[in-house]
Amino acid sequence: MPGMRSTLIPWCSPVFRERHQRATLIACAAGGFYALLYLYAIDDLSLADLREWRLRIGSVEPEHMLRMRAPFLFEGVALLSAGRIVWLISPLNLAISTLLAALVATNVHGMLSLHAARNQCPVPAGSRATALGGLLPALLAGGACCAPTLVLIGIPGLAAYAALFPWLLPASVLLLLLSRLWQRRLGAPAFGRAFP
Amino acid sequence: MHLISRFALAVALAGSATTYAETMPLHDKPLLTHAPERYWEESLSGGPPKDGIPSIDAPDWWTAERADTFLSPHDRVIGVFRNGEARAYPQRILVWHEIVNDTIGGNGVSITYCPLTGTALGFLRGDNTLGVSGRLVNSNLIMYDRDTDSYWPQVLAAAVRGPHTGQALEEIRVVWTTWERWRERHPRTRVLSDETGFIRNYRRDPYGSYNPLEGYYVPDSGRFFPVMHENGRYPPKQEIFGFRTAREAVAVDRDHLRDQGLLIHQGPEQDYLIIHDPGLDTAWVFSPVPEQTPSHDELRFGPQGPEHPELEGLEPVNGFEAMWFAWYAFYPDTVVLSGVP
Repeated sequence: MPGMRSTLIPWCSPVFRERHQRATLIACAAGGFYALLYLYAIDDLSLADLREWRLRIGSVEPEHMLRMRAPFLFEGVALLSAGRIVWLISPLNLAISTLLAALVATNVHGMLSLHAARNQCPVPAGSRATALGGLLPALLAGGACCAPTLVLIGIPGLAAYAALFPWLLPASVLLLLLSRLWQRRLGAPAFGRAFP
Repeated sequence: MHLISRFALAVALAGSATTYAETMPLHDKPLLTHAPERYWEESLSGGPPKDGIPSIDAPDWWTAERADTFLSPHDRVIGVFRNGEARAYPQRILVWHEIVNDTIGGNGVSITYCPLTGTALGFLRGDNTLGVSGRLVNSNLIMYDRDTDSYWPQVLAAAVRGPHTGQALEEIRVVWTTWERWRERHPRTRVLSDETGFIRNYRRDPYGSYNPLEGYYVPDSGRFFPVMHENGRYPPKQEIFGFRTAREAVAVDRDHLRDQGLLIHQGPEQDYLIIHDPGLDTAWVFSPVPEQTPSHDELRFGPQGPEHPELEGLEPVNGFEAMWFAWYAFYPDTVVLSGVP
């Protein structure tokens, strides 16, 4: 947006510094929440009916960790039961959830920053839609045993397209990356920074 | 010379194919409604890749007492009694693995379970092992064998792709029942433990629950994947007891069988005696029907099923419980024994 920076409210003022810090915090919280949601969607995090405190450790061989139980879903190395929360710990699934969390956090930060400056430069609807559209596919990419999550929800006829489901996670990453690039082109600051 | 060596190689390969058949007992009379290739054409990916659902190849065992801390009385198990040994395979573990390559009494066996069709079948595997292909037909697990890479839909028990196409696996009887019932019949049973070599949350079933009945397993609930044949006579997930011969498939209404105790089915070639086992709540099928058919009250039920002098020498016919939609999808010409014309 030509001339946008010159018309912005001074971001270095205390009010905006506080707003910027709040945006960073919200973005981090959103990223963390999304990571938890993703782990729940792929069934690595679940709630048990009975309380139990137990840590079961399985094979930690690299070959085992790299083994895929579904596209982009990797084997676990341990199972932690903490009360009613059960966490199947898979290092690679954790890495993917961290990547998604980082992308979601930067997108949320970018959106909040651009939103704060909306009077000067409204955020195009396309950018928001791309970011929001990027949130969904990864959550639906999760699967259990024979069927992806979407199929388990029970939408009739969807299972016939199960072969396409492996593309959901890459689609999420791509959409979130595109949306982030779009935000940067609109002038959104780098994550953790205020507008210069 | 070049041609001769090629011929020698072809002969050697043909010889090795015969070896496969020797190591894995097979027969040539599966009941197929369609050509084998048609089932493969109708198959689709369930999502996971080949072996993405890992079979258990080195099973570990609990005593019945230890298993009591893991299983509730009404939890489902798949039981096998063979060569004097009783083993139980918890449904809660098999739902994550679908196949256990086990050895009982020196015989290699594969105990298989498909959660989407509610079917448990056992097969003799010789030295071969079975794995989960990741593909489904009529919602049913398609297994593959690791020696020849032939593909076997579990309910058909016949290969629909690969060197063994058109041939069928030899089945062994497994019993779909509850832990309480199996333990009462086989107090010294061993139970598959959760030390499977893989980490899974075995207290959770991704599809629902059999105890109490919830989710995918509720009779009226919908199925996920397309099927080759549909019929609304029963709710899709209602369990029937089915058996098939080389000529026909027979579905037995379990409520009807519970009421009657004994049923006789006159098949095109032979007659069949179907006996309800009240202890395990399953059925046993024999052929032919003895001249002096005992009444249900005269039968005793032991580790190997019903016992009576009149049953000695009869040929047992394998059968298994299945969700109605799946049975019909594979066997649209099925006879139904329901007591209703």
